[in-house]
Amino acid sequence: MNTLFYSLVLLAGILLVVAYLTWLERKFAGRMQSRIGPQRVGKPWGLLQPIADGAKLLVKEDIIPQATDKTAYNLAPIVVILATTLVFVTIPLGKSVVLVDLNVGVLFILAISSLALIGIFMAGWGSANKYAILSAMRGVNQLISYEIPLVLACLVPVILAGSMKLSSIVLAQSKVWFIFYPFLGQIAFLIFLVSALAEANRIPFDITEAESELIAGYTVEYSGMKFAFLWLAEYIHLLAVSLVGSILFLGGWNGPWLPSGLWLALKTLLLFLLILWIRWSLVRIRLDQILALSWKVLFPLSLATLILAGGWSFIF
Amino acid sequence: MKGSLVLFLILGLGIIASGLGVALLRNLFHSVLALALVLILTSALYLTLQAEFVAMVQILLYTGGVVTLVVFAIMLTQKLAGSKLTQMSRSVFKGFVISAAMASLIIYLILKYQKPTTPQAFPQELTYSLAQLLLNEFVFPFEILTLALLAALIGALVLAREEN
Repeated sequence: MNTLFYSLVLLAGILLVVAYLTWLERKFAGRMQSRIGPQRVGKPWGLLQPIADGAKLLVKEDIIPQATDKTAYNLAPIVVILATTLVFVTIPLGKSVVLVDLNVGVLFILAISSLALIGIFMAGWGSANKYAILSAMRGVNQLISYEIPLVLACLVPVILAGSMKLSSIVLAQSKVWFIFYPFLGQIAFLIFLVSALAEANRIPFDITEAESELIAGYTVEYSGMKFAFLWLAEYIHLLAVSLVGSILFLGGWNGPWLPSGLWLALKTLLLFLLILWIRWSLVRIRLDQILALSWKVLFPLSLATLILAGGWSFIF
Repeated sequence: MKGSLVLFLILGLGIIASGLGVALLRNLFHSVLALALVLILTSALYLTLQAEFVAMVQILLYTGGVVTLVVFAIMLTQKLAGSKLTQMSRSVFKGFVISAAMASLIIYLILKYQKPTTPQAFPQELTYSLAQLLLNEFVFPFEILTLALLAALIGALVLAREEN
């Protein structure tokens, strides 16, 4: 019963936080472009904007184009949002605030989030639209290219902590955060950040929904709540990336004075703002550049980092 | 009935149903989705047997890797995926006989050697002891397996390369 209650609170919390992350992104983007951002709905700073957005998407008509592959088209948003949300089962949100502290936590997160790829492909293929299929192909390409550096970068904290359990990894950082390990920590964190950005299809890796060439990518035929699901999933993924990044590299809930959950929230927010900053200041790079970056730079670099991490944990 | 048995039955029936889907669905893309479902349900079955590590690796490698490769293959054969395929071949009857014989053999062996009724006590840190065994006692078989995989990889590269 307790578990059920916690899961419901967790789900509601994720949705609320994600709604306000979209608000934050719009405000942030506005400021970076010398605009104000949302202002009208909700008097101070447009605070009710995400609620209005959600209500609008809920009441929109659900248009299903005739040529679609109905099964794949209708199931895709569910698969995508399930794969991105299920990850939170094992992510601790503070000291001993976790649903199931799995022994294979890191592996679970990597495995489950890789399922989103199938959902994205279902969406693209099921839409029976040239742009959507092209976008799904790019997405699959990009995801399997960056899966390897991402997994290898996530293995560095696992090796250093000697455990795949997220709480043990945080515990191992109670003295020194992994990002402060000379060279090793910074390089691994950089690889993690770049591959995670690519997996989340964010600028500079957002060729899957490059607006100028593919309109909206694999979401182009979706409307109403199904579109909202796909779009929410992207932000949930970003939230998960920021959370996992701060747990694996930034010491999780470790920190002086403040309560543990607040520290984790602050670090997550910092990482999320960093991702926003990257998004709104860089330009999109080409597909071949993206693949070259993965296979020719990140992959060898992450292998070297892994060996370095092994040597480090062997010596110290 | 015990909860674990009910779970096993649900998962088993799900696996059989989606396995049939892989073989019988007439749309190639739907077959692949059914295959993904088979693999996910199998990993859920591993989870009920407390094999967390194997379950996660199953999802990571098979669903994240193999299904993705099949999807890639579909992307390159777009014409095939659009049309309805018949999955029946001329040897359907022979195939049925062989698989029926196979199934009865497996059932016979299981019934014959059915011994433990209570689950064995597992060590607490299952993944940890797995790693200990894999990298200490069984390190040579493990390395030989990786060598075999490497050979297969290089072989695939050689086969795929155009001759000139």
